[in-house]
Amino acid sequence: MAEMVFQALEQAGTNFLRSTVELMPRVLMTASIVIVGWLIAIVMKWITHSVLTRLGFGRLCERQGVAHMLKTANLPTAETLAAVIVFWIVWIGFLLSGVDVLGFAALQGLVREFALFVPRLLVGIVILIVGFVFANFAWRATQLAAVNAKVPSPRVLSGTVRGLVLILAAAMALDQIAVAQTIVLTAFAIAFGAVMLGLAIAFGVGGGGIARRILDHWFPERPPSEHDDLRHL
Amino acid sequence: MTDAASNPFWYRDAVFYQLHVKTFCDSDGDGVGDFRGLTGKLDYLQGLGVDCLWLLPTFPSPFRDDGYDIADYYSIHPGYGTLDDFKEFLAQAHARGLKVITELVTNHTSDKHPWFQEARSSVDNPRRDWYVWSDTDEKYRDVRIIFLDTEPSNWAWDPVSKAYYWHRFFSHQPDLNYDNPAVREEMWNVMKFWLDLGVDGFRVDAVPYLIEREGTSCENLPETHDVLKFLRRRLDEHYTGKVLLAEANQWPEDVRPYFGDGDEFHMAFHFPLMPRMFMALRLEDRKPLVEIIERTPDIPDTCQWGIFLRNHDELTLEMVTAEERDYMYEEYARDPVARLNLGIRRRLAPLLDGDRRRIELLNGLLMSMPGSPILYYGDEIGMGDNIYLGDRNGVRTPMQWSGGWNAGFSTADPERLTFAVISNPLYGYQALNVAAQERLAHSLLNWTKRLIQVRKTTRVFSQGRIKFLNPTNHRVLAYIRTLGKEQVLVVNNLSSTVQAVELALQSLAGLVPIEMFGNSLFPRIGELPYLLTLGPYEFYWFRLRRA
Amino acid sequence: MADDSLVSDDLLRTLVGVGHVDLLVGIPTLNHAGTISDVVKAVEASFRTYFPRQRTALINSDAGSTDDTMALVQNCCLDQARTVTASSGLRTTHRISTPYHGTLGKTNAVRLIFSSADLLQANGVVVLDPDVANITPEWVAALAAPLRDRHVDFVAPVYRRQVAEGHLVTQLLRPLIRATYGWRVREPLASEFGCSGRFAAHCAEQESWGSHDVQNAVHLWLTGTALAGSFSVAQTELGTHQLVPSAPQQPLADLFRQVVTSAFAMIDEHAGYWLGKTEVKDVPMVGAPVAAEAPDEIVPPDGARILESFDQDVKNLEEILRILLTKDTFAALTSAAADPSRPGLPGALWATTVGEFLVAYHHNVMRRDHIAQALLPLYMARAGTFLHEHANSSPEAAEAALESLCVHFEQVKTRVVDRWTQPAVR
Repeated sequence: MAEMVFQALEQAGTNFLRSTVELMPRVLMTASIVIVGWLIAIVMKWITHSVLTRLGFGRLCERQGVAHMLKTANLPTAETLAAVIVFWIVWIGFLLSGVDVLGFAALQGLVREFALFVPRLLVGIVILIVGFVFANFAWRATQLAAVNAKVPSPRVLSGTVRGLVLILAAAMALDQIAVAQTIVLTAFAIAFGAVMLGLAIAFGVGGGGIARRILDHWFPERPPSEHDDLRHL
Repeated sequence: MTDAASNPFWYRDAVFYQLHVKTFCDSDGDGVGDFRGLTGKLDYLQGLGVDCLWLLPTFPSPFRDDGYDIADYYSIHPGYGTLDDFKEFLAQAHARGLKVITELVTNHTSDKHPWFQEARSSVDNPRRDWYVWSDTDEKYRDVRIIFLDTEPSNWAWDPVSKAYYWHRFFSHQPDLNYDNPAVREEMWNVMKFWLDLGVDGFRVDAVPYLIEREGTSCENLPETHDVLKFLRRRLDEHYTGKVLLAEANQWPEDVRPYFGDGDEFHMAFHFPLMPRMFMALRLEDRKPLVEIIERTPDIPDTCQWGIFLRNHDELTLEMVTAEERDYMYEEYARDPVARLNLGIRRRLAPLLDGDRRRIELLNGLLMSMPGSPILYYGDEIGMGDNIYLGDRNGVRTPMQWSGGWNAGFSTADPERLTFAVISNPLYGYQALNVAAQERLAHSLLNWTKRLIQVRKTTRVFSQGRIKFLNPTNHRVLAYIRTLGKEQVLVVNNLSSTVQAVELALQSLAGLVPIEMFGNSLFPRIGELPYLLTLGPYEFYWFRLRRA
Repeated sequence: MADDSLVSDDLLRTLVGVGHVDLLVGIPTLNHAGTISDVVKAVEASFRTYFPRQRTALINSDAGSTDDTMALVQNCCLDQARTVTASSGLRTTHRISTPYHGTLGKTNAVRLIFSSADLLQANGVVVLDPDVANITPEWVAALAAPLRDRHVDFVAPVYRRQVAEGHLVTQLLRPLIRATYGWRVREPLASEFGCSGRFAAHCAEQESWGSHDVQNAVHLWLTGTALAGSFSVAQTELGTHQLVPSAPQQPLADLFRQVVTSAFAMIDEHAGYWLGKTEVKDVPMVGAPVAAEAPDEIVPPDGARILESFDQDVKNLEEILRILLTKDTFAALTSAAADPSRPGLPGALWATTVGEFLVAYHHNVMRRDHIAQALLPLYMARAGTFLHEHANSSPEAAEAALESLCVHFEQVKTRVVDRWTQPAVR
C-alpha cells in the first residue's frame, strides 16, 4: 500500500515536474512578450505624446474646452492622456498575447472574450470623447447665444444642455460597451421620464404655484432688448 | 448731270464745290486769281466729280471783308476779270455739265457802294431810306453782336449824315432796309441780272437779319420771310431749275421756316450738324450727331439741306451749348490764335492733325448723311492753313496745284501774292499739291474722287430717309438710308481703336450686304445680331440686296 | 486677370459694346424698386454736371430682384435725359443692369462690379448703397473726383454722425483699425466708396473673395486691403448718412459676429503690415464737404438701462472670458461690471479687452465665431457707457471722447504686438 502511494506520489511528482518543465518555456515566452510589450508600449506612448504635441492636439482640445474639463477633473493633459491610453492598449495587447502563449484553455477563453470586448471599449471611449467635445461645444454656443439674446439664466440653460448631451453620450457609450445594458437602458428611461414627469407636474397637476415661482425665477419677464434701440451702423 | 429742264430739282442730288476765285488760279500773273484761271481748271473740277460750283463774291468791293462788302452788284471786280470773262467761264462750266451759283449778299452793302454814298449825303436823298438810320444807338438794344471780336455795337455813327446806321456785321457794311419796297425790287433786279447771264442760283448770305423790329432779336422775323418769299416768287415766275441756298446759322427747327412750304429757299445750310461731326469724332461717341439729326425737322420734298465740313468762314460754334463750345475749343483750338468770333478758323486737315483716316471718315459721313454735300476747295487734297493771317484769311490761301512756282497758282512774284502759299513742312505745297496727288493712285484726291463716284451711284444718300440703329457700342454710328426699295447700311467707327459691334438687323433678315467700294459680298443677314468689326476710323457702306 | 466667372455671356456682350470708360458707378441691389430711381437720377445728374467729358457707365449688380428694380434702372429718367439738349451731356451714358450668380450678398455684387470695371478698364469706380436715402450727385462727384484729379486709389467717405448712431463704428471698428493699421480712417465699414481701376483690378484678383470672412463685411476688407497695400487712400466728407426706413435690418447678433470675425480675420491676415507700425497718421481729406440738410435728431437711448445687464452678462460668461482674457483684465472687467457707484465699461478697459480678444482670435484659443459672440455683451456695455456719459454732450465733447477712446486703443497696441508672436498665455 505504502509503495502504491509512493508510486502514485512519484508519478504525480513526475507529472508535475514534467508539466512544469513543459510550462517553463511558455512562461519564459510569456514573460518575454510582456516585457517586450511593455517596452514597446513605452515607446508608443512617447511617440504618441510627441506627435500629438507637434500636431497641436493640446491647442485643439483647448479650443473645444476639453483641456479645461480635464484640468477640472484633475486629469493629465490631453496629449498625456492619449499617450497613456495608447500605452495601455499596446501593453494589454501584448499581455493578452503572452497569456495566450501559456496555453491555458480557461485563460484563452478569457482572452478571447477580452479581445472581443476591447474594440467595443474603444468605440465606447470614442463616443464618450465625441460626446464630451460636443457637449462642451453645445454648452459654449448655448451660453453665448443665450447671453446675447438676453435669455434669463443662460448658465442654467447651457449647463442643462451640456448635462443632457453628456448623459446621452454616456448612455450611448455604456450601451456600446454592453456593460449592464439593461440597467443603463432602464436608468436612462427613468431619468428622461422623470424629467418629463417633473415638467408635467410643474405645469399642470398640483404645485402650480411652485411651478409658477420656479418658472418666474428661471424665466422672468423678458426686458425690452437694448439691441433694438441702438443704431449700430 | 441732266439739265434744269429735265431735272429742276438737280440740287437735291448735287455735290457742291465752294471756291474763291481770288485764290483758285491766276492767269495773268498779277497774284490774284481770276475767271480765266478758273476756266482753265474746269477740267480738274469736272474730273473731281462735283456737280455745282459755288463762288465766293466776285463783285467790285473795297475788300475789307474779302468781297462780302459789295460796292457794285452788276459787275465783276477787275482783279478777277471782266464780265465777258465771267460769261465765258459760265459757258465752259455748263459745257462740262457743271452748274454755277454765286453769292448774293442781300443784308448789307459796302459803305463805299453808291447807294450808301447817296443815302448818307442827305436825309432827303431818295436812297436815304434804303438803309436803317437812327438818331440814337438805343434802338434794338438786346440784339446780339455777330462779329464780337471787332464790333462793339450794331450801330455805327456816320459823321457825314450825323446819324447812326444799323450794321449786323462789320461797321463798314451798313444793313439795307427791306421794309422799303424799292430795296426789294432792286435786289430782285440784281438777281435777274445774273440769272439772265446764266448762273444757276445764289447762295444768299446772312438771310436771318433782313428785318429789324423793336423788342425782338431782329433775327428770323416773319417779315423777313415775306421778303424772301417775294424774291422766290419772282424767281419761279421767270426761271426753272434755279436754286436759292440760304445761309442761316440757326438751330434746325429755326431754319425750317426758311424752306416755307416749298415757296422760299430751295436749300439751306445745316450749320449745327457740322461742329457735331467734329465733336463726335473727338468724343468717340455718336451722341451729338444722332441728337442733332433726330432734332432736324422734315422739309418739303422739293427742298434739301446743304451739309459741309468746312467753308470759308470759321468753324462756327454758335449753334452748340457752352459746354460743347468749351470742349471744341479745348480739343481743336488750344492755340487761342485759332479762335475767332465763337468759332475756329482752321481747315479740315489741320483740325484733324493731317490724319488721313479721320479725313476719310468725316468725308464719308459728309457723303452719306442726309443732304447735298459741299466740299471746300483744297480740302480734297488736305490743304493746310495759316492762322496768323488776319480774320478768316488763313483758310483762304492759294490753291496748291503743283510743287513749283507759287504752287502753280500764279506766275507773279511770291511777294506779290495777297496771301502766301502754305509752305511749312507739314502742309507745304512742295509735296501737298494736285499734281502730286494725281500721280498717286491712293492719294486723298483720288480717294475723294472715288468717294464721290460711289455716292453718285445711288440717290439714296441724297434723298433717302435715315434711321439710326443705335447699337450698344456708342463708338459706332450706324444707320440705314432708305429710298423706295433701295436700302444702304452705313457703319462708321468713330474711335481710334478697333471696335466690334452687333447690329440689330433682324428686320432685314435675308438681305445680303454688298460693300459699295469694292463690291465685296458679306454674309447674309440672319435672325441673330449682325457682328461687324471695324478698324480705327473705318466706315462701310453696304448696299442691301435680296439674293 | 480677375476671375470672370461672375460675368455672364450677356453681360460680356454688353461690356463689349460699352468699351473703355473713365468712370463706372456700381449699385448692388436686391428688391430696391422703392429707392433705385432716385439713385439712378442722382448718378446721371452727377455724370452730366461733374463729368460731362468723361466716358461714364452705371452698372446695377442685382441679386435676383423680384420687383421692378432692374427695369427701373434701364428706364427711369430717360425723358429728362433726352428732351433738353443743353443739359443732356456730351457723351452717351450706359446703364447696365445685370443679375449675378453665386452666393447672394454684397460681396459678389461688388466683385461683379470690380470684374466689370476691370474689363472696361475703368479709370475710376464708385460703389453706392441703394439703402441710403440721401444720395446726391455731389456724393458721386466727391467720391470720384479725387480718383481723376489726384490719382487717389481709394476714397472713403466721412459722415457727420450724431452721438446716438454708428456705435459699431465709433466704439469698435474705427479705433481698432486706427490703432492696428496706423491710419485715422473714420468710416472703415462704409458701403459707399470710390476706388481706382487699379485697386479694383487688384481686389478682383484676390483669392479672399470666396472666404467666409470677406463675404460678411466686404467693405471692411476693401478698406483694410487699401491700407495694407501700396495704395493711396483719402477721405471726403459726404454729410449725413441716412438709411431708408424700409432698409432690411440684420439682427445685431448676426451682424456683430460677421463684422467682428471679418475685422479680426482681416487684421490677422495683414499682421505683416501693421505689427511693425508704431505711428498713426491722418488720412488726407480731399474735396469740399458736401452740403447737407440737418437730419432729424436721433433721440439717444438710455445708456444706464443698457448697462443694467452688464454685471450679469460678465458673470454668465465667466468661464469663457477667463479663457480669452488675462487674469488682470478679467478681474478689472468683473470689478467694473459690479461697481454700483460707477457703472460702465471705461474706454481704456474696453480697449484692453478688445486687444486681448484680438490676440485670442489670432492664437485660435477657441472657435473664432465664439470669440466674436463673447465680445457682443461687452460691446453693448461699452455703447451703453458712451451713451450714458455723452447723450447730452455737445458734438465737440462727444468727438473728444471718441478721440480719447482711439488713443486708448493705440496705447494697447504695444501689448497686443508683444503677445502676438508668443504662444497663447493665460
